[in-house]
Amino acid sequence: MNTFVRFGMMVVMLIAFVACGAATPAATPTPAPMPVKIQLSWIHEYSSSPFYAAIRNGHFAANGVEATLTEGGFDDQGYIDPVAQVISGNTDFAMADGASLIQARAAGSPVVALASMMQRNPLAILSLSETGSVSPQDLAGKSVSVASGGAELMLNTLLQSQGVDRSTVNVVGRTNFGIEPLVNGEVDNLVAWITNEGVALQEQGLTTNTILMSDYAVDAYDFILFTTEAMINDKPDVVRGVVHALQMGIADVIADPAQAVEYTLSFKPELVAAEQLRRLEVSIPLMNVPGKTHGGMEATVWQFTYDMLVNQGILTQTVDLAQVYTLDFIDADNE
Amino acid sequence: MQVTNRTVIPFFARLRWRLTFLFLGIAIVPIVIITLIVIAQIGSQYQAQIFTELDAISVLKTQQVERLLEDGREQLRAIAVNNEVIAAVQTPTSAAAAITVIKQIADISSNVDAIFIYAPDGKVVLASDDVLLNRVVLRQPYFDASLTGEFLQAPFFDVSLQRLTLIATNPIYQDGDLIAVAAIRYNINQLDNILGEQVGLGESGETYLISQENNYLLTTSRFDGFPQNRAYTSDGIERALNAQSGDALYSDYRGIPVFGNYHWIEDLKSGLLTEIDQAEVFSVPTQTQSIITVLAALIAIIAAVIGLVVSTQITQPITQMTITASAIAQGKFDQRVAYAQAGEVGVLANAFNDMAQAVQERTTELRSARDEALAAQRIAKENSRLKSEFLATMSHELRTPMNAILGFSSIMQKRMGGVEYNSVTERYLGRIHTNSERLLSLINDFLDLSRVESGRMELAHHTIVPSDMARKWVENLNVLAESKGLEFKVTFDPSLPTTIEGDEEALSKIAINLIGNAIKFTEIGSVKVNLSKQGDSMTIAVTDTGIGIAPHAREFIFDEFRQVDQSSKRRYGGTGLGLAIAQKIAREMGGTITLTSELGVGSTFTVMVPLEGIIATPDSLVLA
Repeated sequence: MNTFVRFGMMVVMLIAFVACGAATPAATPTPAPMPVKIQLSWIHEYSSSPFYAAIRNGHFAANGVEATLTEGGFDDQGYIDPVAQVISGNTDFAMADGASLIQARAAGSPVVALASMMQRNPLAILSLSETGSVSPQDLAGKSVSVASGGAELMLNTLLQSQGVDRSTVNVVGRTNFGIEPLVNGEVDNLVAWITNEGVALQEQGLTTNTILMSDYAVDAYDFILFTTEAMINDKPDVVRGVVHALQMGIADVIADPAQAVEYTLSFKPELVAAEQLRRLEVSIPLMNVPGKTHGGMEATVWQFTYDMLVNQGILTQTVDLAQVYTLDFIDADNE
Repeated sequence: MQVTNRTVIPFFARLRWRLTFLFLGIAIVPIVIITLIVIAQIGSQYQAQIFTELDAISVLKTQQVERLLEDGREQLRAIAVNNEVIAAVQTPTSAAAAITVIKQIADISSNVDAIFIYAPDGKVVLASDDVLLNRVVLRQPYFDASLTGEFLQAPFFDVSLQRLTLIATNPIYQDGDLIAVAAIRYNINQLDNILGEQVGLGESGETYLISQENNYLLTTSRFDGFPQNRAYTSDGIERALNAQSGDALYSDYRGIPVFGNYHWIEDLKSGLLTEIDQAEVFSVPTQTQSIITVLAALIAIIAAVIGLVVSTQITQPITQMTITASAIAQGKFDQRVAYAQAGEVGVLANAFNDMAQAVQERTTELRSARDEALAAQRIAKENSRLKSEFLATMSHELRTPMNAILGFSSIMQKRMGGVEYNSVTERYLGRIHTNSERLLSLINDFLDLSRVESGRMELAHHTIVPSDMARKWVENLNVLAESKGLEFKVTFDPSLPTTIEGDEEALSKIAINLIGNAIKFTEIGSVKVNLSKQGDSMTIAVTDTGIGIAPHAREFIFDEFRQVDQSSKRRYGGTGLGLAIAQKIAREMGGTITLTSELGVGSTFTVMVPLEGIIATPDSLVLA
């Protein structure tokens, strides 16, 4: 074997060695998905469909999160308080309305709002057409059924902002959470969600009037994802992953409502697909407002909510809104 | 093979159908090609025409939509400078006149659904519809932009109305300060009216606007089950919302294949789509194509009929000729082809008939000749039979006196009774006796010949011992041979059986005739006879060293009364009947006599007769 051949073989072996080294990636272990628990605001239904889409379409997994959903609503001990669940550590994330979170901060609970699933509040004053309630001013002298809590707070604010004396309105506490009292004429007006009771009235073929609270700038976030300050401080990447996955889930629901309903039924098969689709279709314009980021939040809305609580005498102490919510984890490009 | 009218010809082998299908094929191939080309051209032209029409409709609808938008803007400009409106904004107590103005505008214009004026804080202070009063548009998508100048909000979903809404705004200034914003909510139904006009779109056509806002339908679908607040997509929608314009074939938002024109309208941030179902579009050329196809089929049928008629005209006389030929073959010579048309087939039919006529005449002549020949044969046979009978009778009758002559002449020669003759008388008696013997021999020959010819010769079947039979031949003829100094020898081949079945008298008559002839025509040398078995026959070969027989004489040597020439007859004597009798007897026995001869060397006559039965096979034997 002459010198030239030996030199050629060495060059070939060197190239092969370098090639093998380049082809072998550095051993970077893929981090295991971080398991997180998310407490929903209600039982499995259309209103939580962005979470279902985020799971089924792999957005949580893509963001390094393995999400487990827990139904909200009521259990044997009564109403499942999402704030208490998060504070107690039973869940990592939960859904609640903005007013509750401000009040929780006022009470010293270190919760922080991360994203709002809906950009407009679905609360409205529903009535049958013959009642003639087309504006807040028409409520005078009529009965209005409203649940205590956030709904009553917004009703009072609406009446106040529109110069309607509350004493002229027969405000009735809502105990039946169906539409029967309105359909049966037991009450003239019903404060409820257009996405739920509003659709139910349409499904019965009734002609209704709708006074949407947000049309009068009585608007507060009602579906807010929140967590604790500790979670934000300790696991900011997990928080960001959950928020981004939710944003992507919202986009998926807007793009393909039928798929979202299919996913919803996979979590609760006894639901009726057509009913869920109708409710989701009414919900989507509330999630998808022109010029607004999916899941985004605005300071004016938080401020309005805060003012509302103060004006109604519910909040008596100062709360720093900057501590109540953060936009640090929102993907602003997700419109 | 005899052809008859019952001969079965396979269907596709029949000339008629082959010609018919040939015509059909010749007709169909160009028809199909032309039809396909025409159909393809019609489809292509019609498709181009449809796209042109869709484009024209799209342009028209776009102009109408833009006109609607511009009307709204012009009305807003008028409202923005209207004194009553400005006054009402500044002094709400004087709002009545302004409300009247905007209500009149809203009522007059079908393009307007509502007019409302809001303060810079978003609160609606004037409205054509009381429902809108006191609303706060602070968080509406158009609010911020409306404060800075004329603005047309892209369609968005109005949650309280539960439908898409189109809003245009125009700020109201007083002394350069923004004091309010005038807004028009367009009558979205007017878009339905504009786009719902179906002229030029057939039964399934549709023109619709699809909003960039969540791919919602800005106009109402003309088809049930497609609400506005649902995201729709298709190839056309995607292209339109990507600000493209053009034509294409695709499936629309219903999933139905359509001819589509897509067009982007910037002001509306919406796509205008003009579509018609492909099924309907294709139904028109399909009708034309159906007509063409039917026409092509009719032409093909006509071609087939023509082919059938022509092929029938061609094949009918052929079929007739076939039937006629079959009849002629079966003996019906009077059959003719009934075809009176001119042309090659007519000439062929006439030629066929001429041929048939010739065949008929020739057959008649042949039959006549055959009948005459048969009659002559019968007469000849009868004459021959009569002749033979005459000869037999005559011979028989002649033998009686001839025997008397022989007997008495023999007595007289023996001087019975003491009678003495002188030498002359004895010589005469000797001549009488000799000639009587010759005459008797001649008569016997005649008698034998006539028996054979008249068919009265009956062959006997006895056991023959060939050696005994040959010994008798030697006894009869040895004297004659010795008298001429000839060697006369009879030999037996070992293959010859010791006893056989047959007619000894007949065999002996043949043998003696042949041996007698051999001795007669041999002056020196020998006459040898050999008996043998060859196959299933017994052979008697008589070989002499005589004068031989000339080749020309071998043809008639077996005829009656024929010798090689008259000189032979005079020299050697004889009647010339011996060989004829021998051959006739041999034939009667189923055998033959063959001759080989060479002039001056000798001759061999070989008799071969079938062996009827073999009893034993001897050793070789020679008789001399």
